[in-house]
Amino acid sequence: MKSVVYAIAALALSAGLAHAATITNKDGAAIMVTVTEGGQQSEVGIGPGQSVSVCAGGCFVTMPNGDREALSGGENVEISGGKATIK
Amino acid sequence: MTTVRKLLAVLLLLLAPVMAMAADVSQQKAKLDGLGQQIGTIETSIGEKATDDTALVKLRISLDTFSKSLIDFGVSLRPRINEINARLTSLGDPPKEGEPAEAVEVSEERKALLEEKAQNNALLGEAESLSIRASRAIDRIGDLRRDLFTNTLFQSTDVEGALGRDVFETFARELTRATQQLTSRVQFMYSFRTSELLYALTLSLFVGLATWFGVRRMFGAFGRTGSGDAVDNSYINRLSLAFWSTTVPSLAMAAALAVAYSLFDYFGVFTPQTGDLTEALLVSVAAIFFIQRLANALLSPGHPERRLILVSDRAARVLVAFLIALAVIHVVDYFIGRSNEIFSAPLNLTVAKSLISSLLISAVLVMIALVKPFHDGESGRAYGWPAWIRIPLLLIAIFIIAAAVSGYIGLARFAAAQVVVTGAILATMFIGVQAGQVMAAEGVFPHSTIGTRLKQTFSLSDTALDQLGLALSFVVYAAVFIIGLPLILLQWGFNQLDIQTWLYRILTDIRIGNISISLIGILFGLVVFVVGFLVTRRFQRWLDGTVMARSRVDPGVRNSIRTIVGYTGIALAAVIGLSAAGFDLSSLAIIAGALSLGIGFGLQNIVSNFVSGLILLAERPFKVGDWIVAGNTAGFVRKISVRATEIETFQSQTVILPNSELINSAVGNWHHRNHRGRIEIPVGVAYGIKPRRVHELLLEVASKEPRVLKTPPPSVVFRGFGDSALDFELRCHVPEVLDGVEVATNLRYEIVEAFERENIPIPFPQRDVNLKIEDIEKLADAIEAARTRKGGSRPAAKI
Repeated sequence: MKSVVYAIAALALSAGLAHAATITNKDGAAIMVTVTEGGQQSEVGIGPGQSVSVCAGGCFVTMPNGDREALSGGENVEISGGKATIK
Repeated sequence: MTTVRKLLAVLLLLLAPVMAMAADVSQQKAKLDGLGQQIGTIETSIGEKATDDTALVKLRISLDTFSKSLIDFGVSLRPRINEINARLTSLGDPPKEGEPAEAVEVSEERKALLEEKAQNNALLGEAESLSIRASRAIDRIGDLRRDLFTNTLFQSTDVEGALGRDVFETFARELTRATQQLTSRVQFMYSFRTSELLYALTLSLFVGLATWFGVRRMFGAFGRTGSGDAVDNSYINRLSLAFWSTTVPSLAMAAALAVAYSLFDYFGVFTPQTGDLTEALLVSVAAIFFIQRLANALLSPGHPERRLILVSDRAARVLVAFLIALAVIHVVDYFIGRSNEIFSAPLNLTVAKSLISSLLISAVLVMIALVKPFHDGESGRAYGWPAWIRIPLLLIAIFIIAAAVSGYIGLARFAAAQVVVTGAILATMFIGVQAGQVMAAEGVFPHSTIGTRLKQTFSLSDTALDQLGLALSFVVYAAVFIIGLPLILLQWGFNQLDIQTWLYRILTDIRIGNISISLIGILFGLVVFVVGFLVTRRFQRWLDGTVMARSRVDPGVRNSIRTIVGYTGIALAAVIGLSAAGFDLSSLAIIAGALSLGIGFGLQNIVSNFVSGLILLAERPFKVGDWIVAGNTAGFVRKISVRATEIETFQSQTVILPNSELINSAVGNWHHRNHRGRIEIPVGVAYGIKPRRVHELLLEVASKEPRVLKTPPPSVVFRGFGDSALDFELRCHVPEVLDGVEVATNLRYEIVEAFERENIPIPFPQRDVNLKIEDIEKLADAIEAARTRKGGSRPAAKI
């Protein structure tokens, strides 16, 4: 019984690892990032202190200061002063 | 000369980072250009293969990998970009006007870094636009495939023309051409590439044999359980036998064929055409194999005891033959279709083979519908399928024939193919669902082969196994639908990626208004909670059984600590589980705030009991096992929970007492600091006996009883002059208050015996009755008269 539980836990863990990337705005003002995912460009607004989940399957993001980044999913992006730090 | 060399070396050393940087960017640029060319090729081939569905699917897959490699490319630039950003930050901003100018090196470096960053940004931008191009191409493939599907389904064809005499000539010609191509290829390989051919053949043969032996070994055991001496033919065992004997060999076969194909491909045996042809051939072989296994599993003509659909022996044989015939017709049609595509045969050939195969399949369907598979046990008469099977089968057959004859060959072919493929998938799902149903039935799983084996290995109880069976049945249902439904949807022209996306959405992101629910998240949270719960229980057991038992901790304290640890662990597991499930705990705080008002009124009692329980556990006015008296209830404490405490009275009645009552009112505890207790035995002696002698005697009796404590010493109290006796009371202390009643009983026996020895009577209340009657003589006379009347001879009572 226990081994069954462990197996399920391992499964759920591996399933839980595939996550979307999270972009967090650490600035005091709202910012706009451009997300290109699945062939579609969309502008995503992030309020001060808010964070949004984008692109489960990988995407390109243009930061407020014009920097571009490719995200493969699962990253934590923090934006402060228009600059992005990826963790 | 040497100085010049040295200078050159120093210069090179200085320039090395810059050159490395340049090399880096140009390398990445070259990589991206390669990717750009790749998408170009794919786009052209989409245009070329616009009518070939299989090729489009392959292009689609390659586009998916292409998109992934674009993202990977972008991610691979990240470390360098991070480096640049970090360096730029440490260099700081360029000096503003009026500020002192910085060193030339610094501004140079900044310039170089900014330039490189711009280049990297440009590369990323290019990758981004390539990814957009890839997505457009994917959309285009989707459109093309949809068009192809509708075209093939609803295009009317001239049937008579297709079935003309020249079709057979064309067919013969194409066949010769294909054979020639194949033989010439084989001859070429044989003469010029003998070693590769031999390698591929030997290795494939090896893989095939290994798979065959592996599957045989595995199913040797299954076969024995099915028909050996211990015949266990319960439905669940037949089902699992059917399921495993269908899926495992089929999957093994498919895997072996795939390995063989890739081996041949690896050794370069194939030309593109022969490769495609071989692929089609292998797919056909695997499909026939699967359907043959499936039909045998469902109907098992040789072993009536393993049959899942209970038809007669003869019908089982006939039906298996028909089902295999269906598979063969479908597969042959598929194979000819593929080879027509590969060798670009004329269209009328394709039309002709589709027409023939559709008609053949509908003919077989009619025959299956007309089989009489069951027979009546009593009369022995055979009877046919129930109407809900027979009529749809006939209707489908009629539909296919009608579509084919009226020229909608594509539609007829599609319907016929779906009958075979969807039918096979549905049959497999049927086995799965049946297995789930049987497993969920009460008491079935523990007695199945798997159940018995699990029982032996993990020593589980029947109840646990039964519950496991129920859980497993849900898993089986889920697996059947998660695997089966997408397969059917794929057959019906849905896109693989669409299905994947739907599934992903359903599992991770169900949106209701602003709330998004993730099934995987919830499942994960649940698993975390269960794990936390198990860990807590385990820790509790370890702490209680190993640590506290060995440090001789008082059982009551042990109980308190265990309970507190248990509640803390469960609360922690719940909190972690909730946050793992994606619930925002801060929003929970708001809910808690709103709830606190409700708690204030509605849940007042429960909360007060809960808090009282915590106080009881912490303060411990009594422990488990104590003899307490609370209000009208007296008895032993059996369990202290957070809401209520269980008390077992001396009559073995269990009283559940809310904790708040134990906190808010006085509770007597006989066992609180010690187990000592005092017993009192009142006794009276007749007037005239010397009180001091009684005092001595009582003390003597008490001192002889071993269970009476010496300190504090027993004492005798002369309580007073009663109505008929001098009242004494013997008071003594016992070390265990629970023995009090027994000791008191013993002492009373002893007191009675001692008094008897000393001739001390224990008086009982006496009453002197004085009658005051005036005419007592008259009363005596009346009695006398009554006696003489009766003739009595007894003398009258003297009054």
